[in-house]
Amino acid sequence: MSELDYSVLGAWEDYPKRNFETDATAVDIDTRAAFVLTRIDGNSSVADLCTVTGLGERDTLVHLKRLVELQLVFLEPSDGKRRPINLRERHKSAAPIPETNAPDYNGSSEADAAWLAQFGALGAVPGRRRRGSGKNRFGGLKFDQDLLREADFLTIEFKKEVIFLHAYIGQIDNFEFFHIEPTDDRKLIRKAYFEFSRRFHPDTVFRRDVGPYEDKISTIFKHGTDAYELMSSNTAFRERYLAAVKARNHLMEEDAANRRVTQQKARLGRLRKQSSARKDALRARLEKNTAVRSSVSRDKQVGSRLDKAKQFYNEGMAHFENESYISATNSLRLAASYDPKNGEYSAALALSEERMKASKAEAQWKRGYIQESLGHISEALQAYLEAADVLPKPDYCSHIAHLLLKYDQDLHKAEELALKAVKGDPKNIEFKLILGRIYQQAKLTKKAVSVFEQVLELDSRHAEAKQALKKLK
Amino acid sequence: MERIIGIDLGTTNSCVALVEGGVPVVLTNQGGYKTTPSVVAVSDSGKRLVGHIAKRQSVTNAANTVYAAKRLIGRRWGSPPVRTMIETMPYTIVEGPNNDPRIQLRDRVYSIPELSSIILQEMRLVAEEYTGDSIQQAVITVPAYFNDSQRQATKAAGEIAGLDVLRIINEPTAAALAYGYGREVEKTVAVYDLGGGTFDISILSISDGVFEVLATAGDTFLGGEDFDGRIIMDWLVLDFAREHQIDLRRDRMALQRLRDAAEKAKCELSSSNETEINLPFIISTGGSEALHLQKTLSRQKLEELTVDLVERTTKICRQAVEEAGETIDEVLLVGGMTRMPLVQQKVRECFGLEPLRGVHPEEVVALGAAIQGASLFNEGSSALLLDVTPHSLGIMVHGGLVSVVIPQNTTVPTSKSHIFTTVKDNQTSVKILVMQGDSDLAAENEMMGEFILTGLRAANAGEVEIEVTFDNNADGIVAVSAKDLETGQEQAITVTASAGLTPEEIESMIRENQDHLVSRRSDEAVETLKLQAQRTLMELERLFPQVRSLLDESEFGQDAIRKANGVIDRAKLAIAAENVDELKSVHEALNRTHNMFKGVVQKIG
Repeated sequence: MSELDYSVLGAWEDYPKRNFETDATAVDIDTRAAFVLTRIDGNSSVADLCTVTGLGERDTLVHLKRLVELQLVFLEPSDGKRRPINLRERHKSAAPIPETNAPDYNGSSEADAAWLAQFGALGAVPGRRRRGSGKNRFGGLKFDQDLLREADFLTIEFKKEVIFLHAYIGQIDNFEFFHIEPTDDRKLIRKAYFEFSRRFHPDTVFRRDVGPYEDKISTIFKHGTDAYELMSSNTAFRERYLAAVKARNHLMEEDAANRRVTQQKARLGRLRKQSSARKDALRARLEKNTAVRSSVSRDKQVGSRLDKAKQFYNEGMAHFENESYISATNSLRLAASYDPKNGEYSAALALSEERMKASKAEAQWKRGYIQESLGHISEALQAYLEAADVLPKPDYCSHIAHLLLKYDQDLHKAEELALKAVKGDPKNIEFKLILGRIYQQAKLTKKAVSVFEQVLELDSRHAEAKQALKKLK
Repeated sequence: MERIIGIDLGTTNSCVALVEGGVPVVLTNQGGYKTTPSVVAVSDSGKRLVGHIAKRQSVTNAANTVYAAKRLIGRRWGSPPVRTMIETMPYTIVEGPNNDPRIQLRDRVYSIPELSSIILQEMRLVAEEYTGDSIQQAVITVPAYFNDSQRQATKAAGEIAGLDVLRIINEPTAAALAYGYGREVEKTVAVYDLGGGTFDISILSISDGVFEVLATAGDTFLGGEDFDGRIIMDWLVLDFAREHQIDLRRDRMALQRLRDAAEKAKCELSSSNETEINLPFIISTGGSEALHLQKTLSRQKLEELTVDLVERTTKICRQAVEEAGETIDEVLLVGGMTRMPLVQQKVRECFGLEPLRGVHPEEVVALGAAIQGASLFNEGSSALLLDVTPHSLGIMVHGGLVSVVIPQNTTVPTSKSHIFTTVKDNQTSVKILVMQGDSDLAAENEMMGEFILTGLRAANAGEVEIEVTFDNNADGIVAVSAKDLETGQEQAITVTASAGLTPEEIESMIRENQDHLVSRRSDEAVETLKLQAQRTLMELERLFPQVRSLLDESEFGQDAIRKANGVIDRAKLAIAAENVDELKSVHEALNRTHNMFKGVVQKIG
């Protein structure tokens, strides 16, 4: 087969989709092409499809091309970064890329790590886990497609497993190697080893032409056997190794949790920025509209302006009485702009605006409350902040500050809000306490002391304040 | 599909099995027996005899009848077992060109693998007879405690017999395979294998069709033959000498008769309490008078004579159990010797378990070998064997000691490395001596090969690092390499124990053996043709008087009778000469004449 022209197929990231207007039973395709057709679900890209079919990239593309030419399938371009299909290019980068920047965990303690080091590769607990689950089960390893095409006797899945284990020998821990959770149970380890042997003992490919896989399988089996022997017979080793793996996993979990928190924070910041940008845009539009309207109305008669003002005022007051404050505010705003000198109008506008804010804030606050009770803290905070933005009520501010403190988020924001709350209601002990706790958390001792002293001034027998002061001093 | 047979090449008896439609079966030989004696003989006429027929004629042809050749396989001339054999065996053991023992039968010297190959060939023929098809591939069993050279020699025997030996596996492991195959057991099993020549104990963990050997131990020179020896040497010969001042061992024929009688007595005592040994005319006193041997042997006496041998086995058992470090759920008895009540009793005491019944001790090993053969080419629910190295492998280090690289009972395939260093200043080369065995002293171990790594950097003692890697694959082939970690200089060998034979020798034996197989197969063809010819001849002679009276009158008739007479004479000659081609041509002529006779009788009579 000469070099194919894949230009009809476009890019690896494109999504092949079924064209249901063409009847598949009416066209001449072979079983393999039909099989490729059955694998097309509209959610997998061309690259995904090549993995899914198990036919290898070249064959899959050949069949796909035919399907496209027969108009059974059309390709929907994806939005992402697109790499046009070029098999040669792809092969070059398909070799396993060893990870080098793995974080270096030394297990539970340095002494343990040193002790384990005497067992060489078998005792080493690598810095990270590579095996995920599902799509991630090969740790994101890129497979050499030529290699996967060899040795028909083996299944694609098994070949991938062989390539994965072989590429990461000494870089994945022994439990991961046997595909089991870290355990101290000898029976479980033996069971895992037996299952492993069933798959990787060289006898399973006895005198079969499996080409480059033969050596790989043998190497994997030898490594597995050594690991099993060490783990099943040497109790001291097993204990220390298990401890080291567990410690490593714990560290990794913590790491992942921290990463999640920072990601959330970043997201929160992004959302806040977006919402304020939206608000600015809205304001600008509103101003522009008002400007246009006022410029239009300037040409008209003063009398008619007053009439219109009166009309809008009546409309607005009707809305106001119906408690639809947004519409009321809009109408009153127009009334005030048509007749700016009328004090009645501006007073009504001010009142309506205040009511509108309060109801908006209340709605946001309710939303936040629901989110918080569902445990979606970042969403809750988002809503709360919006509520406080609209209407900086002291109890709103204080609650947000409390949440920010509790979930260890932006302390500056927390301080700002807590201060607002205290300022809004200087006699409230609860607000002061929260401010004090924030300072305490931020290690601003002096400020914390002064806040707690203020609390004591208000209530000289407040237990928490006393205790905190004692601790701070 | 390729048929793969499993052969249990035993010291006294051999057995062959095959997996048919997922069921392992033991194949019976022409005589209807499931086991064939591992006996080879050369008759007066120079004819090769194998199996039952060889065993039957052993008394009259003791010097040219070989049994228990397995006890010599892969051993060195001058080693203690060989010396014992020279003393006690009625056949002549001579030194071979490669420091190996060989056996002289009439005017020819045979190597041990060659003699074993004759037995393997016989087993192959049994299987071919059964399947009606040519058999090429086999799995052969050996005692677990066989060392590398004994295994290699067995493999060579298979090759000489024209077989592609897929794998050499251990007898106790094979037995466990046969026990655990096709049933869902999850157990730790001890296999106690006391055969004709060797004792093995293996402990295996079985689960879901995976058989992991946990520990194996044994003694390659302890078996039924030694029990027989006790009866003969310590009792029969001694008592006879005391009574008549005659050493029966001097007379080969007498020795052979004693041997047969002792084996028979031992077997009988497994079921009865007393047996008679009756050997009339055992030896002549030199004059016209002959002496007879007649004695009664009781089970108690036998146990007295052999109890130390049994205790030797239980001591090895305890060692293996300790090595395995697991509780034993089941004990399997393998080998004909385990029929002896004393053995069963001691095993029961040793493991605290009732030994498992229901497996045939003499057939189970061949069944296991067949299962392993089938499993190698089968996918799915077949058995997987995780076998171990029976002996430690290492290299000789300073002071004549052995540094173990692959310890005993390591699962194969495996590869292991150790770092060694120089012992002298400015040493630029090291000699790597590859050793096998379980002693710390190099001298007590078997040397498997040697090579020299040169080109080391001249440095102070202990500064140069040399990495020695042993690689042991599932076929038991050991490759050893040594590498100077600094310069990258490397040397390697693949250890192929010579089996006492050079590759050329094996090559020529294979050819010779093929000739033998052809002649043996043509023998059978001659036999059938001869029978057919004789039958037709008889028929002709029956019809002859009738035909003669009918045809005598005409000239044509007389001519026909003359011709018929000619044919009959020719046929008689051809039958006597046993010549295939002549028999074939005569066969046609005979049939023609026969048809003519029948026609005449029908037409006229």
